[in-house]
Amino acid sequence: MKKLLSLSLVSALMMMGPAHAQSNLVFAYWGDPAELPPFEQIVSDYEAANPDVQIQVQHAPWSGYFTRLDAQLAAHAGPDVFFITNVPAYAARNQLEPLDDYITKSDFPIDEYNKGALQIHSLKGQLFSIPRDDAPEALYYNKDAFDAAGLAYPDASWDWDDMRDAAVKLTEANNGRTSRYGLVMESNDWPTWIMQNGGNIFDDPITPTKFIMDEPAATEAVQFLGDLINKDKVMPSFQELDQSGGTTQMFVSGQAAMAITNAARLGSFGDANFNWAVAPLPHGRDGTRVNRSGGAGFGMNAFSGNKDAAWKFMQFLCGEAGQTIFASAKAAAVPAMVGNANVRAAFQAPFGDIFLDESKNGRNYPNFPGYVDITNLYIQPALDLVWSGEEDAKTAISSIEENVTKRLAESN
Amino acid sequence: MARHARKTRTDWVLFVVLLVGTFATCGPFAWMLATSIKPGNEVFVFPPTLLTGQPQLNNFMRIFDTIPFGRSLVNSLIVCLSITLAQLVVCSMAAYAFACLTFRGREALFLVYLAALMVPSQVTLIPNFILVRNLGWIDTYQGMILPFAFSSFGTFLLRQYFMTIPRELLEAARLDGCKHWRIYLWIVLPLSRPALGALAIFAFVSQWNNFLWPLIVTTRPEMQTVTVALSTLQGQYNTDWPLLMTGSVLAVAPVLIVFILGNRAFIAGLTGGGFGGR
Repeated sequence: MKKLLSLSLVSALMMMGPAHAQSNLVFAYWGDPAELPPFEQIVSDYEAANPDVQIQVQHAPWSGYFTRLDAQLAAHAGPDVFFITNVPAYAARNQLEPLDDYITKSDFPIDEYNKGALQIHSLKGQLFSIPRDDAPEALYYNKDAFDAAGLAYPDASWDWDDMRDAAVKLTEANNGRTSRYGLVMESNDWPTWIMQNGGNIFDDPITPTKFIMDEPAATEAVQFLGDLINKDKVMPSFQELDQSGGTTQMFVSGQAAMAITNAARLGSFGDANFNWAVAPLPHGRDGTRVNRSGGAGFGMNAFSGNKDAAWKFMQFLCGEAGQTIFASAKAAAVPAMVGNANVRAAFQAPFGDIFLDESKNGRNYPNFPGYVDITNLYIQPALDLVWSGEEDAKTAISSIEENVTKRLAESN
Repeated sequence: MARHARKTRTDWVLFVVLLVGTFATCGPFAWMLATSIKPGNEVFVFPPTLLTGQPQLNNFMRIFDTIPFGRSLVNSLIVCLSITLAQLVVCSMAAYAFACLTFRGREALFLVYLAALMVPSQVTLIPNFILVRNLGWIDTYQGMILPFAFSSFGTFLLRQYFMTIPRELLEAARLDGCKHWRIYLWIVLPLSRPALGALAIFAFVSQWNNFLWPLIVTTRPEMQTVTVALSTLQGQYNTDWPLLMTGSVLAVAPVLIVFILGNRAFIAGLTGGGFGGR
């Protein structure tokens, strides 16, 4: 009896053995309900093609994703593969696995990706995540409002002044309250305008040595935005914008005639009960075209116990297969793998060509480990004074130059 | 007559003040209710509408399809009721020790205990997470419940209340042969119903609203509490406000029920415990 028992035990153990080398991977991402289908499809496609792999999905909303990820990584735990932005900060804390060796070993076509995007997913020359998308912005406009005002629709010839003139004509007041603003834009878009004016925040966005935002090219651009809010009164203050539900809600509810924002809005603007279209971003006064480059990517946990399986999944997720699924999804993201013809062809979003063209003008916003602190402590408070009209751009930004320079020297 | 008129006048002033307070308190709830049935493009129009022309009652069905909302309600109920029960037991026993027993170093120990009130939860978040993870309690009910089974605030509240119970009563019980267990169970607890009711409401409501801990210790949708489930409706760029408000309406309901049931004990506990306001 005893023998029989041990025999059956042994055979049971053998059945659990390496015949089914199950590998389990944990994959984490954020997204609102409309953004989730491509992630889910990639996971199920990969599982179908690799029956020996089980992928456990951890989804969190944007608002809580990083709180949880930070806690998990601090505990040396967390998902094997995860969706990530702000890569240098995580890389500097040694929480991301450097990917260059994996890429060389498996001949991963890294050359087909947006060059600018690759830069912000790196730290000190090492790549730590593979970009999924680029987030260029464009000018959404309410066609009905333009028709009613007798204005020509925006096109590629528009510069800053054309945009402002139209915004002035489209702004409507009712009993002393602005019932429709000419223009809204995201509160963190200001670097685009500085670069369109030939200026910048630092001499280099990735390896900065000098703060140059106090130079006229930069302060002029900041002043231009400040004037749109306070002098021309054609754009709401960013605080008011936030309280009114952001660019999406202001535009959809007809309280803004133009909105500068990214392709993620294509879906939610479908709710609008007026005709709208998308135009390229206006260019600088000397014709300079700049758009923001960036977007999120996928990284591998440095503490993962299953790195080879994780990389195998990443090749699918980040490569042509995954990129094609993301590009053809309803809530489309402008693909990062722009050098791949199949991926480009799959990107059929409305006005997709405009976004792809804008993607070519992409330039990086500052992205280095100490930048978050510098923004929070100095740049944002100075900008807030300009947005509120309390100080002009030159005064506000000159006054932080010394502090930022000091801080920058410390963080390097 | 004159006195009567004066009385009516003060009544009216009081009435107006209370009315303003009522509107200020109920305003957000009214907006939440109104938004929950609005079409998406009507949420932020100006002037704001209270009643929409096209009520979207199907939001109340849609929410159950979009996220596992029913399951999250059940999870929240399990977690919150367990924590409430645990806190009532643990805090009342600790409070009994601090209020009714005499032992060396009692006051010093109580001070240390109170110091725990001053430690912000953000500080203990990561250590707690590491502990729970090492116990293998990620995605489990015990992982959500046990870290909150004790509360220094609850102990403080109950201890203050227990101190008001006349010593003579406890001594009489002891003369009649009661040991501590009996005094605790048969004398102290029944006399402290208002304070226990207040603690129960505090515990339930604060846990019902708790977001950070359930967020980081759950990774699977089927273990999420209602706050975490609702937050998944909020995107980086887009938020379905009507659906979010629909969920909020449904999420507020249990809290409202608990409050109505425990209301009388709650108010008696606040005023009677010498603990006004907090």
